[in-house]
Amino acid sequence: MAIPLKYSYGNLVSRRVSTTITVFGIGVVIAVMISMLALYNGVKTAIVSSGSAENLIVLREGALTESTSWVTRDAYKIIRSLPGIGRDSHGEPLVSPELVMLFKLPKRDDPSGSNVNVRGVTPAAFEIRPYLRIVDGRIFQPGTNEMIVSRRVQRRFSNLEIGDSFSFGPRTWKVVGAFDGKGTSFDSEIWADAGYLGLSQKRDAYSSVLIRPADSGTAASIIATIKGDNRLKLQVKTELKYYQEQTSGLVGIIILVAFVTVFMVIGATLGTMNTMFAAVASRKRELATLRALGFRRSAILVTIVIESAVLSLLGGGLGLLLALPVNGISTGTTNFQTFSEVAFNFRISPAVAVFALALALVAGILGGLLPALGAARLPITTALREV
Amino acid sequence: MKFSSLVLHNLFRNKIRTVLTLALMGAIFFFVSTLLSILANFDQASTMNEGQNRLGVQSAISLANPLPLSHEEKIRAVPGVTDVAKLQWVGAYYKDQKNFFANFAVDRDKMETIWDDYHVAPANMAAFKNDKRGAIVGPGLARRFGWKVGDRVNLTGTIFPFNPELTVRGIYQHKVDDSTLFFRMDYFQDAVGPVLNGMVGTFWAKVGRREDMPRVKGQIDAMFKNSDYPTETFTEKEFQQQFISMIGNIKLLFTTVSICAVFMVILLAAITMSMSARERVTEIAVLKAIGFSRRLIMILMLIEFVTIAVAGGLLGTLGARFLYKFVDMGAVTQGFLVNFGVNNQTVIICLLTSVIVGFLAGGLPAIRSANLSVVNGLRKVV
Repeated sequence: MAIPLKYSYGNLVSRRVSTTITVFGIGVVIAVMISMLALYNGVKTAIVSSGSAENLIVLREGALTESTSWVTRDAYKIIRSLPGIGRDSHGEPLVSPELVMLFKLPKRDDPSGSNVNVRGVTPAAFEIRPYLRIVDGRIFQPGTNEMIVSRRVQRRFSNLEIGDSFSFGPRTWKVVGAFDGKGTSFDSEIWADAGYLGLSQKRDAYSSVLIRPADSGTAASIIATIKGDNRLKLQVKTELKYYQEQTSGLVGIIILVAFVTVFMVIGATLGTMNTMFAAVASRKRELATLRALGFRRSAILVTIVIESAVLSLLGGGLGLLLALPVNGISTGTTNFQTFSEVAFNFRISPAVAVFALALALVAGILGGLLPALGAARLPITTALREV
Repeated sequence: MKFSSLVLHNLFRNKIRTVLTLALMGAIFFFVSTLLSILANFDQASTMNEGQNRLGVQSAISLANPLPLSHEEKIRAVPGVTDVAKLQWVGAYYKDQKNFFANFAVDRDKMETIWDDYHVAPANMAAFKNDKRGAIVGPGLARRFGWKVGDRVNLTGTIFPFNPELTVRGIYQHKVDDSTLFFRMDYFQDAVGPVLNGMVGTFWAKVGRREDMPRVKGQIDAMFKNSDYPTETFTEKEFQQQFISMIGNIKLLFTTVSICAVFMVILLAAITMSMSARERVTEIAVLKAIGFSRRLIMILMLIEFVTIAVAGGLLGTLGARFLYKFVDMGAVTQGFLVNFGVNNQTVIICLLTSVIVGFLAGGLPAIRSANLSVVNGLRKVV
């Protein structure tokens, strides 16, 4: 027969002080763990959510990022004339040639600055990414030094409000609008006219070409044609895959998050174990009485493990509450793969919350196991005699 | 001193509890030591070349934008500059993209004048100068990839459409940096050809006298301010720091995480210590009855608690120090942490913190025990 759950609950309540302190201790470590997971989740989402599985991106063979790739104007013309490409409302092919450069700009909290992706585009870029919206000011005039800046970049960097301008050598750039990239990595970018950006940097080739195939069948033939053309020396993949690959620059963050998570779980496990050993030690007689009443060793084991799991889960729940204010905090880091800033928000997604609570549960069970084994093995006669 | 056996006995009264507390403290201080060491490691990277009187010149637009080769002679003409070299970040990898490390193309005859803190045996340097495809590598890289002098090393390019095919001609010695590969600029330029037409990533200038550095720095940037290729000149320290500041506010992040971890340890240790004090109420009452003063009892208990905390702290921080001596963190973190270790300062910070943890967690139980009434204590059945 199993010992009623009420017994476990009653014990946690009767040891109010020690229960509260343990729950707080575990809560703090779980909160730290959730915050780190939210950080990773935020950066990853900011990078990967830009990629569409429908779009194809063309880059130089061997290039890992747009900013180190080039696609000549001739290659662009060849790509544009390929069969099977989707058409926009004006009947033009959905092909967007883009030039990506890095500008080092001062941040609001750090004047030494970070690199921002500056994307030179043509109107096709907006056709192929219809979710992108100008939220303030206006779009840049083609062939001019005007640029539009994402809202998030405006908040992270100084001197990028509408009407502001900055110079590199003889070239001056003017901010005329702000856009919202809907949480994609374009939220970490500045956009300008491709022609003028190329001119200002004395660069003739584009960095990449984005294609929207008419349907998935033509996508395969477009990929085959581009890969098969030895003159081009280009690679082509889905936009989604490209952005997934960009996350390899996050290896430092992943190692850090894994390291923190492992140690926080170890901390929570040892913490619960400590408390449970004490809890068992202080009621040896009670446990022996239960055995004398006829409860099996396994029932004792289960009840102690349940008590420990509940304790740790309470800590996990508190941790989640403590970590909630972190959700949505907007910050940035450099993706060393692209060598440019990623603006992101800490994101406590349901998956992060469930994962953290599951780990808290695991810590509780692991932490309860040894004390429970000890409790189950108590010899009845000596334990009953204990004062 | 005469009470040491009493304290010792109490320490091991409940072995499981002591071991668990030590393990918890050890784990958390291992964790904190690691975080602090990462911060120290970044600091070390930015100060490793202090005193070399080197200035790095990069494009003001960003490090990824190249500068024209014609800047070289103009920089050399600035009074106070003794020599200038070109340096190009190549960003190639070895076999797998995960094998990240710093690799540069450098003017073959400038290793000795500009980067003279990278010591290379004369015979090896001569071999490097004689082989257009020669490379000089750091001892950390040699260890990580099993390279020896004479080995062929083929890298895969990412930034440039060019795969360097190199032969290791020498292994340098440097006081901090052990993981860089240098190969020859003439090989790089020939191979890359028109891609980087007449351009290069950075220039490095050696300045004769340290006090001239701020002036030279200002003069270089002023000279190119209105050119098509404006520059930003850094001291070596500033140059390295720009990468660290790009990561974001990690100092704040790591400090917050460390404080939370220590806070958790204080809470959980406090439970254990109160438990340990409660168990021996009768015993303490007896001690008081036979004439131990309150102060003595409090001191004895605090010594016990602080000893556990410090032992845990030592275990964690020295354990980290020992472990990182033998684990190649450069390989584990894919080149993110180079020459990683726990320094003395970190050990001292952890020890001081553990003392504080001991006092905070053990303070209340110790005071409570000291103030225990003898009569009640003796009457209490535990």
